[in-house]
Amino acid sequence: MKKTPIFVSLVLLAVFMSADVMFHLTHGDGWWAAVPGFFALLGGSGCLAIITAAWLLGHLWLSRYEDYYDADRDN
Amino acid sequence: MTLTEIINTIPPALVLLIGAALLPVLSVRLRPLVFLALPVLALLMIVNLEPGTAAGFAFMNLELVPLRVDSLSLAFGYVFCLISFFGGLYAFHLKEKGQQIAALIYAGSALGAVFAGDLFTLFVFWELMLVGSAYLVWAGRTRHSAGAGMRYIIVHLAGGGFLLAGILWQFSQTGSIEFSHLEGAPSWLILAGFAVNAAVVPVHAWLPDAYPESSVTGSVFLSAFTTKVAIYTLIRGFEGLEILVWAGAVMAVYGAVYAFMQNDIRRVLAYGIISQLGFMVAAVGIGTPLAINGAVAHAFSHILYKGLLFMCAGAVLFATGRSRLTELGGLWRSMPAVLVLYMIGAVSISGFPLFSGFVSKSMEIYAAEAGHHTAVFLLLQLASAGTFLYTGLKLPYLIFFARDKKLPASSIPRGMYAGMGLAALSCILIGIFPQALYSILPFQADYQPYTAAHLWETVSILLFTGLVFWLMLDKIKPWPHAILDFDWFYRRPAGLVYRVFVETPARVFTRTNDGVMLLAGWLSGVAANPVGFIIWHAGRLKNWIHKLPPPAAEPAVFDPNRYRGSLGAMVLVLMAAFIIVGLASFIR
Repeated sequence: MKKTPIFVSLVLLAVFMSADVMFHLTHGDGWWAAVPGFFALLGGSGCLAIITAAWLLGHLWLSRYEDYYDADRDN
Repeated sequence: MTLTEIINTIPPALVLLIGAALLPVLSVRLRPLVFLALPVLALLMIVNLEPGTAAGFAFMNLELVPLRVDSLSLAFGYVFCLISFFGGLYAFHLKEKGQQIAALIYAGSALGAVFAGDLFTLFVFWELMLVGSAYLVWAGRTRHSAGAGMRYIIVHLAGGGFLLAGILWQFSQTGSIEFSHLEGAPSWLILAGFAVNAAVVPVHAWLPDAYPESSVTGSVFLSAFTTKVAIYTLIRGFEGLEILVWAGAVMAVYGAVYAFMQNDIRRVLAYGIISQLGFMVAAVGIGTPLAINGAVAHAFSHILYKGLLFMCAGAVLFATGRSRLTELGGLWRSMPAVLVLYMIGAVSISGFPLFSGFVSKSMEIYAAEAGHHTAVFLLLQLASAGTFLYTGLKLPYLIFFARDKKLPASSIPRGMYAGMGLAALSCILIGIFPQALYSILPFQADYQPYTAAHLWETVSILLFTGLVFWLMLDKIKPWPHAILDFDWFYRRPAGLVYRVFVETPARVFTRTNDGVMLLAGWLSGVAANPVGFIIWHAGRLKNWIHKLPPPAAEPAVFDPNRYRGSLGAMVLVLMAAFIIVGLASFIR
């Protein structure tokens, strides 16, 4: 992993969290409204979770060669 | 009754269906023009319809209502006409009569279904949609589309069977076939039928199986009608049904994860439909006016931006002949206009401010929050991030950028650009003027999408999704793989079922057939010279006893001269016969 994206992400996360703390930008009546920068965290971790879940599911379980379903029917 | 009043009792579906019947007699130049005129005509009729109209007639002892007009059916009617028009432009270059007719039947029956006031009329249009759409799947004319179309038909016939069984049960219990809010035991069968068409996980696998195998233009129509008619029927029949909230949340996330795993661009978009339908199904389950408004608004804008995305994917396939991410890359140089149009669709579906997703999808998410469905709210937000990830980042990155494969791209017809352009324009217009969309929703809406909190939330989610994508860019690689889904359960045993129920009986039949033919051939050989057969076998037996070689073969055909006995022997036999008869006459 390159250093620039990590650096940019962390700086932006800090900016978003502090902006949220200062201006109370996150609204809602759930517990999440109390977490500073909640939706930034949700977006980032959600993206990470989906990439990871897709990678794990795909590589460990659900992948088959492309003509998997054709193999035993074409004769 | 004035003429206008009479016209206002004609179902707009008839315009498209009659048009489909007329199309075969028109010349090849005229057909695309008529195809474009028909949705415009239908739209004019729909605009003039009075909400509250219910035009019906008695058929045997049933009260059929082919035209029932209210704000819910009108909203779906408008967008079906719009996408038919855009799709018609996109397919303007098409010379193939069959696809044009099928698309019109499909669009017409979808219109018929949303204006149907009773369950039987709904069922008829429901099945008619299957006819048109199955043809469009087969129109892909590949080995895969043949199988996918057949599976599509089988799954939908099963779903239609549930629906019909539910309708009949409902009718026998209540004596009414009116289509309004449904409750009681029969409604579960009807719900099962609706769920198949709404691609609710786990009965969703027909969708990503069939849509990517359709023709370039066919998949645009497919992406619009079947599933959205199902959303309409769910709203009409099952609004506020709790189980749909969870079914929808599961669909939204499931579709997003699966979309991310796919290699075929149209299959990515097909799983994207499931994810987006999840938002709508969840909103139907929540059932508050805000949620229902959200489901209708989202369906409306979804039809337009998903149509646009399928058009762009089709344009890539049309120009390069490829639709696999593993084979694509670096197309921004040769297809910059398609890239721009695609990105408009992608940011619309991702819910960027000033685009249609922002003003429609958010209503559903807020309805979940306002209804205190916290987990569902968070799952839908997660699915939103996923939507941006696979449609807005991964697909364009791998199609238009990434490694330049130096693919030759042929130019695409102007009609395709026109269709994509208008669809893109509609996405932007809805995003900028959401009140136009809100004014046609079923409930009075005082929803404001452009608030500071909503903008903050959207920008946070989208920005950090993008950042993590950038962070993981090295890991984003397409896989040349098939990904298993629930269709495994009927596709994997298909080989075994085929062997047991088709191949084995066929083999038994063939063997029996061969045996009978062999026997018949042998018998006919014997029958040609039965005397020779007996004499030869008798001679062979005699020679075998005497340890001699078998006698020479008898002629194949009977020859009377060869086997005629001597005159003396004949006289002897005759005399013996007379003696026996004479002796017998003495016996009393």
